[in-house]
Amino acid sequence: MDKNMQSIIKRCQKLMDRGYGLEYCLKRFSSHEREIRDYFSLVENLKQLRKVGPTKEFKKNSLDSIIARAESRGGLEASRAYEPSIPRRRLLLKPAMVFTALIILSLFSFAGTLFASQDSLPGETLYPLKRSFEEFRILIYPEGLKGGLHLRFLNNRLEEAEILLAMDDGIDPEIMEDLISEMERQYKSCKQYNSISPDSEEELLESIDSVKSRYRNRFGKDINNGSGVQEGTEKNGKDNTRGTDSRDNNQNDKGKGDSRGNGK
Amino acid sequence: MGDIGSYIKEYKRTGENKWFAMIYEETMPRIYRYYYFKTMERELSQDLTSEVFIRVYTNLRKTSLDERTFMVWIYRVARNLLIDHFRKNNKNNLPIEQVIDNIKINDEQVLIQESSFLKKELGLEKPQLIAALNNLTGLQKDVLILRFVEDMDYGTIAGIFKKGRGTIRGIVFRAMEKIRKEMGAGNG
Repeated sequence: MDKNMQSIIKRCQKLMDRGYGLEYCLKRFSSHEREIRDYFSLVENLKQLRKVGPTKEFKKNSLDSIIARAESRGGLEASRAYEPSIPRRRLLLKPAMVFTALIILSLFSFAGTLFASQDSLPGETLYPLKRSFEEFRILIYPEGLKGGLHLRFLNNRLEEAEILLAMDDGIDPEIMEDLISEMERQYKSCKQYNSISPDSEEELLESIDSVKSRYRNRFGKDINNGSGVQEGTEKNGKDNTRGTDSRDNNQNDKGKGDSRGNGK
Repeated sequence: MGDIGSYIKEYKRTGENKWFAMIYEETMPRIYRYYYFKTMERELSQDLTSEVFIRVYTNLRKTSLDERTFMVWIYRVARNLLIDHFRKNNKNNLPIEQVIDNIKINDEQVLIQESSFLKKELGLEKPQLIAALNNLTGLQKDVLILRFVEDMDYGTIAGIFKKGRGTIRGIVFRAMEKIRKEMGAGNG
């Protein structure tokens, strides 16, 4: 049987599996009618061999005898290895598939945790992840976009501080101090990248001052974080945007008490 | 055909012999036919079939097989037992593959006797098919019987003989052509 005939038979078989009769195949491949008819007639003859089977007695009685003999032999036969071997390709694929599935699962669970951390507040378990992700974004962003990112993070810190201060139950003053310190660090970076518009700068400084004064009222003490940005001082120097760094550094050198004194 | 896969599952879960009986009922005639067409000896085929199921009963609960891998496994058990059987009578010390591939009924009298038995008892329309099958190689005969008598898919047959599906398909077509010619010549 040549290759052409093989593919015709294969197509006929497929058609018949889909419910088309032999006559349909014969019409469709009429030039090979005889060969197709012979082939499928032979298949029918072979199917007749399904009638072959053991004797009725064997069918009826063999099972009990097999079970009895197997149980009397016990585990002796078990030592013979009759397990089919798993194809080598499947053996190689299995670890690779498990590894890929684990990686995908890990990526999904990490992405989910990261997403959940975006709503966390200082002091919560996921908050360090939120901050680390922000630091990572700062690292990978192009220089031209970093200013905008710092401004967004400054707003995030302000929002977090607002929420924490609005809470009635106890807030850890250290957490608040860290938050205010971070707020000031972001403000400095914004100034460095010149990302705050003159219109919004005053509003931002007011918000920072408001957080600080509410912190003072609540805990009865000043911020003790060694930051360079102090209340009021930025308001005075807002028209000197790029030049504030050196002044801030001077204030740092002088110490907190002095700089705060200048502002108030 | 019943759902052998679920019978195996239930048998392994409960250990109840009623599930083993279901598996036996579904697969025993197939194994018997495998031996019968190899040996043309009814008694021997029954004995070898019993041996296969003793091994199945002893080992099945320790395996992790589904329907398809079970069929591959049981035919391999059957084939190994047949090899053992022929090895005992292999006086020429031929390699086992060659032995199993060269099983032919050389006694024409046996063939005639079995063909007429099948015609008389089972109403087989073309008893000359038995002689034509006997002229195939052992592998061709096995593949043809599994494909058309046992209605097994190419993938499972490929698993039993550790060959590719394409190879099995080729074997089927070549064997069919050989039988067709043989039976055509016989009719002519």
